[in-house]
Amino acid sequence: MELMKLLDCFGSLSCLTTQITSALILGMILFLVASGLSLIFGVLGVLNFAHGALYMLGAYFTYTLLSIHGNFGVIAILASIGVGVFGVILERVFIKRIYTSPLLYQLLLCYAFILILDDLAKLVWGYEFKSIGLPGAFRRPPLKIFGSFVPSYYVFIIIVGVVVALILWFFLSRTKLGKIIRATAHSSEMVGALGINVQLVYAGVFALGSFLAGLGGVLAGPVRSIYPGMGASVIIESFIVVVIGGLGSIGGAFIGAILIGLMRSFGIIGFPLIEESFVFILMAVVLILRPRGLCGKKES
Amino acid sequence: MRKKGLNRREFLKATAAGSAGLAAGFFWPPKTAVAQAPIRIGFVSIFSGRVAMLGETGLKGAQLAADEYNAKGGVLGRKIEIIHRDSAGKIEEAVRIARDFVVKDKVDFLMDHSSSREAFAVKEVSRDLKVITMVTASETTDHSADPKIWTPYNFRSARQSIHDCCVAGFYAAKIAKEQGLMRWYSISPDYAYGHDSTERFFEFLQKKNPEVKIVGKLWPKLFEPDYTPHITKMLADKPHAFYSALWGGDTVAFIEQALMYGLFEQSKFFCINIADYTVLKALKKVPEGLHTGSRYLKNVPDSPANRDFGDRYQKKYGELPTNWSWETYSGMLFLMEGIKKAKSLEAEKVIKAMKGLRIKAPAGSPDFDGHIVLRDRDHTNIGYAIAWGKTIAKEPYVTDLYYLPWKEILQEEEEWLKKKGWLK
Repeated sequence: MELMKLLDCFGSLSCLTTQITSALILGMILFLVASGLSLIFGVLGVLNFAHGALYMLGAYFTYTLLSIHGNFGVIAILASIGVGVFGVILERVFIKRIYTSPLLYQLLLCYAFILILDDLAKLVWGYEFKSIGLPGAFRRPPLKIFGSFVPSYYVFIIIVGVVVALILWFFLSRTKLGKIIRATAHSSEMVGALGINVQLVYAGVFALGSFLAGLGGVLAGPVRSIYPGMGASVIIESFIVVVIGGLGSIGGAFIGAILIGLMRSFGIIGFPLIEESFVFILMAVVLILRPRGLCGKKES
Repeated sequence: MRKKGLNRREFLKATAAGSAGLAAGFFWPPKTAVAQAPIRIGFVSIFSGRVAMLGETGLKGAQLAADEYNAKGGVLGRKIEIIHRDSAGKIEEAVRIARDFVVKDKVDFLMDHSSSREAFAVKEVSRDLKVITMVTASETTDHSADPKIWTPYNFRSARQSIHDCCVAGFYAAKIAKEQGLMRWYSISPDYAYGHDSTERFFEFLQKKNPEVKIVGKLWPKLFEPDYTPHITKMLADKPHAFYSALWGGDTVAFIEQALMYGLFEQSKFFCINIADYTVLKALKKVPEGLHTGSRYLKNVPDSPANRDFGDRYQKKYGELPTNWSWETYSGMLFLMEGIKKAKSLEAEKVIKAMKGLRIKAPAGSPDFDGHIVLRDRDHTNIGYAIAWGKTIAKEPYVTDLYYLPWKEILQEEEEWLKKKGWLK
């Protein structure tokens, strides 16, 4: 334990800035993946264990597209859309068949897709890990903020995360389509009775969730290793985010992801040997005190 | 009523069958001249998921050796055949595969190219079924050093953590003295190999340079995707230098992320696993001035045999070998030369032949005159080239190479084993 170091950090603006930005970086990528997961579960009722594999596809699509076209911004959007389209195919051909099946079938199907997509990635891109490297625009010295250094690419990730969170909030709470999605989550039968094509809503939500996972992979690509099975590294933490934030809540996913980031970035200063356990402790505390999650709704 | 004896049809059939039988007997070569069954090797490793590279490049190294022997007519007049299966990194699966190889597939030898977790379990299959197993990937020292778990049926061609860390510690101590690096940190994966490597490294570093102080250790989980909290922690604590046993994609991710924060400008980085082509090629630009151990490099050892091995491998597979490739290649050389020497496939005879077997190999270090040896005492590989040096952006990627004579490595190892009570 290095409690004094933790207290010193709380008293230092530069240390606080470094650790908070560090938390936001971890949090934003987690949020992107977890928000898609939460959305799909909230509306479709499917625990999409293969969501990590969609994150992996986002990174691989970026890797491939960047070898054809050099503009990272364009590629980021194209790769994320590509994962969204892949998500629709996955949902229409396979996932839709198990909406009414017991949970075990969902888990089996999703787990099968983790294995299939990992092996497909191995066949298409090879078994060796790939690295994209920082986009040219971000290859510059880190920014100096309150005496601490923050890499410009990480500032970009934080901005994208916050913007996506705001757009999602606006879309789901202020637009007609958003209301339809929320209504479908509440009662798909009633939405269907109103003449709305529920299957189309399901496909659209799965596409949006996949797009978000893909975007997470796209943004992680330049700073993380890309290899078959890389989705496994984010899926567990994404589930924890969803549990902490509340199943189906996008706002909860945002708060949960940032809380996990903070736990890790400050935990490592005071408790470097057990830093990762704080994430699980936080989840346990939330489950004991508020089992439905921070922003989860009470089950009727 | 049917007549006694043969009718015409039956006669013709019998004649045809008899003629065919005779012809077969005539044309069929006598049993001794039949092309003998191949020497079968069961190769168990990980071919899927995050460590698929372990199995894939390991198998390529072993297959290259097999093909080279086969091109010369095989061994004892028999071709070599490798069959491989994926354990997916699961202990129980590795054990099942190893058993099936022996019981159902009737392999003559096992090649265990697993991580240490599975290797300890496969060792028991080898002991139980009395089948020689060449261990080609597990580097944990205990595997062959701990007498309580040792078995005569296991041989190891893989490098060993204690040897690597001895060279690493001595090299780091030298640089620490030259540059005044006194406050040290570490960041290594949180599992047996990471802990073993880091503890041994610091033991040797402090033995050679007792003024060095360890001010912090970080243990991210294996396959951690984001090291930002660890990097910012080290930026805050400002160590002079730090050691790492991160490997593969984890090393690449850590270096890319640390570069963004300028961590290497603040603290000197000593990582045992940068100098493998998979890591060097994955890095967009190899940063200069990092200190690394050699995993596989065409210039370590800087010998015609090693360069030629690299070229042959690249010609066959279109890529450069990895550390795992030379380990399996060496394992195959040991096995085949052992069989040749024993003139038999019988386990007891081959064991006897492989004890202390000294062979010329690409990995052989200069002070072993280009040879590697399966040490009689514990059946483990010694004499392979180990070097440390500084990274540069272009080939050969590592310069200012530092070798520790094997005589010294072996002395240090012996001392350590005696301290553990594993050697009298």
